[in-house]
Amino acid sequence: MNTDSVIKAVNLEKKFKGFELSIPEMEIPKGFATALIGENGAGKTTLLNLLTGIRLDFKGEIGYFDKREKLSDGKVQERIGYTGPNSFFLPNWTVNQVEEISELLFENFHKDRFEKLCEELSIPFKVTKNVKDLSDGNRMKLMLATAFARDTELLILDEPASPLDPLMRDKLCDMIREYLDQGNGSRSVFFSTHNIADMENVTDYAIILEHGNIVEQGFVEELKEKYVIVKGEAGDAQAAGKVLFTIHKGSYGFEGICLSEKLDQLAGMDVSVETPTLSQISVAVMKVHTSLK
Amino acid sequence: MKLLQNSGVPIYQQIADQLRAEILGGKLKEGDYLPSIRGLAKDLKISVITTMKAYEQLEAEGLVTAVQGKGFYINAQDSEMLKEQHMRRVEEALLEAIHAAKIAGLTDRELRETLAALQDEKIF
Amino acid sequence: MKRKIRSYLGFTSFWYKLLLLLVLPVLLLGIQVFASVVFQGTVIPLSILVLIFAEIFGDTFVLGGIQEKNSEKMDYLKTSPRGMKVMKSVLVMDLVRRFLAFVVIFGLSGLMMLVFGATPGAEKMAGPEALLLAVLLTYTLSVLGIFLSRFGSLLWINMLCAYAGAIVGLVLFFIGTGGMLPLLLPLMNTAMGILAVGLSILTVKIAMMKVEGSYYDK
Repeated sequence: MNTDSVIKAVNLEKKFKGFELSIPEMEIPKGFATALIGENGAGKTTLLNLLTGIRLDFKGEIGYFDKREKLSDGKVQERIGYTGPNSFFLPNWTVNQVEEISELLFENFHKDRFEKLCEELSIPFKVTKNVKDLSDGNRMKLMLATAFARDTELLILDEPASPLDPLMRDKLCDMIREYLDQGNGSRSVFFSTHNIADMENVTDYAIILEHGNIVEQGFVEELKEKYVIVKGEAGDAQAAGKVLFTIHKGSYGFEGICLSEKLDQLAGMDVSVETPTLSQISVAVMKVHTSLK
Repeated sequence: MKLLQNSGVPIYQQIADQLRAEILGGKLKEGDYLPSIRGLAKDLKISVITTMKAYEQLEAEGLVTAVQGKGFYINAQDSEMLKEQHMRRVEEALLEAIHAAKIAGLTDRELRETLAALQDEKIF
Repeated sequence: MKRKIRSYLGFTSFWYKLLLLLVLPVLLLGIQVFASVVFQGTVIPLSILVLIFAEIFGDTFVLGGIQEKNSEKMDYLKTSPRGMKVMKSVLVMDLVRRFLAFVVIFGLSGLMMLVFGATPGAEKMAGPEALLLAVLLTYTLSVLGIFLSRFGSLLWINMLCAYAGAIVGLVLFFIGTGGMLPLLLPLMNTAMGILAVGLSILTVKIAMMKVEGSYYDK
């Protein structure tokens, strides 16, 4: 599928001790929600920090929006909303102060919308409530409220679902869909997540990161055609193992993920196939690349 | 529109099927626009790409046409083609009835009588 | 300027603003009025003690720990094109507010003594040079205290800085106004003035270095 991209990164490189993020090319499609998936330590937060301007020392180029602007061009950050897992606000700020400061930091921050969001998400909006005294879930909701209270074209959300309860995750998905709908193709969302299943119904494009490299990416519907789940009898497990991408053998049979193009090679075996979910695909891809034993 | 998560039929397929039925059934008329992709995704609580795939399938079938920046509008349905489509559905339904009758051990005559009786009742 | 003031007020909580910007100055001035009217005395030494302590202690709730090692509490600021500007405004306005508050408090205290009269004991603290020393001492020592305690976020270290600063300030004020040596007062004022400028620059610079440093690997 040919689509415009909201971010195009070329030759991204970032080295830490014992870790190297290396992305020759990456494009985030415009008008869609893209999920960044990967193990702990795969480099997801590092990548998002480079994109949001939280870390400035890296090699390579990142172009933003249609005109491929640079972050240093000034107004780019104004058009991006961000929530993160690290200390985001100063711990001594109160919810009230967060509102005041947001207004100073971003021209497109709307106080009325922020207050409405606080009410909708039941964030304790009191002058005396310190950010550091909020629960993880409430702190994430507060970050989301600051991001959604602005007129932005791109949201970059680092693990937004993790601290949220199931009800709030559902609400987050609704908020993302509404954000995209309001943009009518001009707004994009890029989020990292471990909760693939919960976010699957809002994920259009997926990028899977392992050891600092992109190991798989594509529109979810295309990935679902690229891979297929195969189930078969125990007797065929040995032979099937050579063809399948990943396989789990048990005494009753085997189950695994196969590249659709290789399905022919299973001819003659008694197998049944079904379409995988994004989380099944992700786990399979991660299993192939992990250093986890 | 109702979607079943665990029916085995892909979500995009379910959307395409239901929209096709509405188009062929005349509920959505020539020149009408389909709901916006992102709006429908929001309403159905599904991803944008799934909705898009459903629309692209309808486009491939020639039922709708995409207009840059405006969405998908419904094409004029060729009446001959339309009739053929309807005919196919009738055949499908009757084949299923014949199959069920065989299992039930109904004779051909009994089956025809049932059809006639149903038509007399004019439940449709 | 308006923006800078708003940044500063945004960074300070409701209680900080209420207590340090309003209640404490009014209270200290109130006591001074009372002392002046009733026995022509002064509470300038008390004000020095209380202000240094309160300013250092209060800072824990505003910018405490900002110069800490591995302090990366600024992600929200860093994703704004104006984040660093706002941060610098806050650091500068914090110092300006302090200085102005002390000028007003000690200036008005001196005025009270001028209006209501002062006993011989109080009079040597009421002269312009003594009042200037009060302002400079309170400012320099409170800035030194916050500068040192911002390197960590431990409350007891902050309290230690607050106590030490307050006591040192008081002692230096008594020495300065004691009249033991003829040129001591102007000498101390000059020294404190230089120290005040140096510390102010350092306080802003080091904090900004720390915050901006988190953009890069150390």
